[in-house]
Formats: sequence, C-alpha cells, structure tokens
Amino acid sequence: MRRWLREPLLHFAILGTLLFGLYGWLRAGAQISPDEIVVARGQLQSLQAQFQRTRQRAPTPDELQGLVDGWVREEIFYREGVAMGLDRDDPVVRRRVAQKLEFLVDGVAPSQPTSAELQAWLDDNADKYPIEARYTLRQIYFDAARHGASLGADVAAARRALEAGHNPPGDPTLLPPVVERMAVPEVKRVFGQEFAEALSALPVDRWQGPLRSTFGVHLVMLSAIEPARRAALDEVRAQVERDVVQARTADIGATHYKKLRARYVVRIDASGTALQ
Amino acid sequence: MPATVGYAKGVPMGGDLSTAPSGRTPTFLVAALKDSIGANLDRIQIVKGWLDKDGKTQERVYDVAVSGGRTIDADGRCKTPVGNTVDVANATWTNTIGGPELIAVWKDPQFDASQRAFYYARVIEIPTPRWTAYDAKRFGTKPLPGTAMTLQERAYTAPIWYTP
Repeated sequence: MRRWLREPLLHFAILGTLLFGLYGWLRAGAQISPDEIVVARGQLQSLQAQFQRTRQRAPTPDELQGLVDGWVREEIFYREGVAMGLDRDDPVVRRRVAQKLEFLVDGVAPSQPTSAELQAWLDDNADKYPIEARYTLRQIYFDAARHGASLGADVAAARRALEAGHNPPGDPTLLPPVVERMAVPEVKRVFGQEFAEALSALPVDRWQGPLRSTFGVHLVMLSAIEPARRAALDEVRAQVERDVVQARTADIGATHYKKLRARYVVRIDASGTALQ
Repeated sequence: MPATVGYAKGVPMGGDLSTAPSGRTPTFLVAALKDSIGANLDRIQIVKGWLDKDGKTQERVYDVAVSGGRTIDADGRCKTPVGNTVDVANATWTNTIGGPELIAVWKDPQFDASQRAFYYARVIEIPTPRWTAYDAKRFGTKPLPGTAMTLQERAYTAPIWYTP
C-alpha cells in the first residue's frame, strides 16, 4: 500500500486531474469558448469613433452593421491565420509587435525634472542653448563692378561725407540698409560669413569700412552689439525641459533593453559573411 | 526697396493681372539678389507663355537683365555668354564674373491686350561645378565620357497670369 502511494505515476495522475479541473473551471468562468467572437461594447464604440473621425458624422445602423461584419471577418481571419502560424517569421508582424513593446516602454513617463535638475542639465550642455550675438547697424553698399578702378576712392569719399554728417547714397541694392538686433547666424545668411566675422572687431557708433562681403563693399556703422552669452534657465526652460525628459525616456528604454538582453544568449553564425 | 513698391502698386508673382487699360502695356519689375554663399548671377529672364490661333502652347524667353555690361539685342536675347570660371578638377569656381544682384523693369514688346498669357521670371547663376564634379574630386574617380561637369543653377518665380 505504502509503495503504491509513493508511485510517481499516481502523483502525476492526481496532479494532472486537478490541473485540468482547475483549467476547465477557469475557462467556464470566462464564458468564452474558442469559437466564440464577442464584439464588446468598447470595440463597437471604437469602430463608431473611427467612422466619425473619417466622415465627420455618426454611422447609420446599416453602416454600423457593415463595420461590425467587417471587424468580425477580420477577427476570424486573424485567428485562423495565427492558428496556422502565419504571424511567425513575418518581418512586418515582427516589427509591429516589437514596436508596440517599444511604445509601451516609451509611454512610461519619466519623473518630471525639478528646477535644480534643469539648471544642472543647462550647465552641462550650455553650448546647446546659445544666445547668439546680435547686431544693430546701418550699411551703405558699393557694387565693385560699377565703380571699377575708382572703387577705393569712391568709398573713401563716401566715408568722409558720412563723417561730415552728409548722407551719400551708395549703390542701389536689395540688401537691407538698416539691420535691427540681427542674430549672427542671420547676418551670415544675409551678408555672408566674411562680413559677419568682420563685424565682431568693429567699434560702435563710428562709420567703418570698407568691409568686404560676398556682394561687394560696405561702409558700416554699428550702433549696438549684444554679445553672445550663456542662456539663463528661464529663457530656455521649455527647451531644456523637453531635452531632459527626452534623455530620461531614452535612458528608460536603454535600461529596459539591457535588462531584457541579459536574459538571452545570442549566437551568430557569421560564416560566409562580412561580419567579424 | 523694390518689393515694397511692387506690393504697393502691382500684382505679386502668383497673382492675376486682369484687363489692361486700352493702349497700355503692363510693366514688370524683377530683382534678384544672389545667395550669400552662392555663385554670382548671370542674367534674369522672363518667360512668356500663351496659346496661339490653333490652340497650341507657345513660349518665348526674354533676357531682361544681364551682368557684366553685356547688351540685350533687339530680339530680347543676350548672345554673349557670361563666361566660365569652373575648375572642374578641383570642383571650384570664382565669383569674378557675373553680378551679385540684378534688377530690371521690362515691358513685353509683343503684348496683346486681348490675349491670355503667363509671365514668370527665372534667375540664372554663373556656371558652377555640377555634383558629378564634386563627386569626381571627392572620390578621385574619372567620370564617364559625356558626363556634364558644370551647370548653371536657376531659380524661378511663380507666374503672373494676364487674364483679360
């Protein structure tokens, strides 16, 4: 009798019966057999909402029936397809499922950074948030081709006239005669690199030149320089906050992958490929 | 600024020019400034398009502003090319020809007040190395025979529609 009780086959049979019983009981609780399709109210609402978004109106009863029939048809095909294993080794399904997992991880909200944390980030990455120098100036343009050999003399004469308080016209141009608080990158875009670089060395409130640009020659009076400086947190708070949150989200993603990756052993058969 | 005058008194590019007062011809004001990092300008052209008596499309190109003191002939074309400074081997060019900006006021010598037409402008740069020249220089390759190694970049405007 005792030996009979210690028989592993008996344990197996009893445990098996219990397990199947429990399984059957749980399944009965869910009240869905494998061949049953339930179009839940939430699903129906979602179909309706989708229709409403595209057509800007609610579906008629006939249209709603059509939507439900279409959904049921898709569900059946989906189940049959999965049962046949059509989802395996399919690059589109594979990418989509992987993507959904990534979305789930991306959706994990990182902790909201405090002001001190934002300031620390700004201090570490000051060069990413430059406040560029700005120039306010007047300029008079001379087209080199128009003046030929007398260019130097003409520009010098114009400069003397300016210093004597006159208003020599220079040559007509589409370039702006007056520039108000223009940031350096914009100055570079409008007048070219050479001109923008020459400005930084000029004294204020005196006619200077000739300065060369990509267009010709200019006389320039700088009236105000706002030097380049590091941004204060309040000037770039929104941008810093976005960058910190983005960096934290990326961190969560990387940590999550690292954790998952540690659970796998990867073997690569590199024979016959360029892989080292 | 020419643009201020144009917007205040005229129809901007992309706009409709309705019936002309009898005996009057529309005047086009066109101006172009080169790109501050780009090549000088060769010329500005205005392209006119219309339908002839048989309903066929017709086009005609007029040079309206040219750089370097060249002349525009009575037929509306400048026959003197701007020249070419491109060094294909080094994929470079110099802005020693052409002009930094061009501006012109132009009237259509063949204007017909009863005929619908469109006019658009295109601005042509002096010759510069084509991407094939940059590639050949960068990778040290020899281009296939017949490969174009220079080109003249162009920008064009939206048309003005004359709609009597």
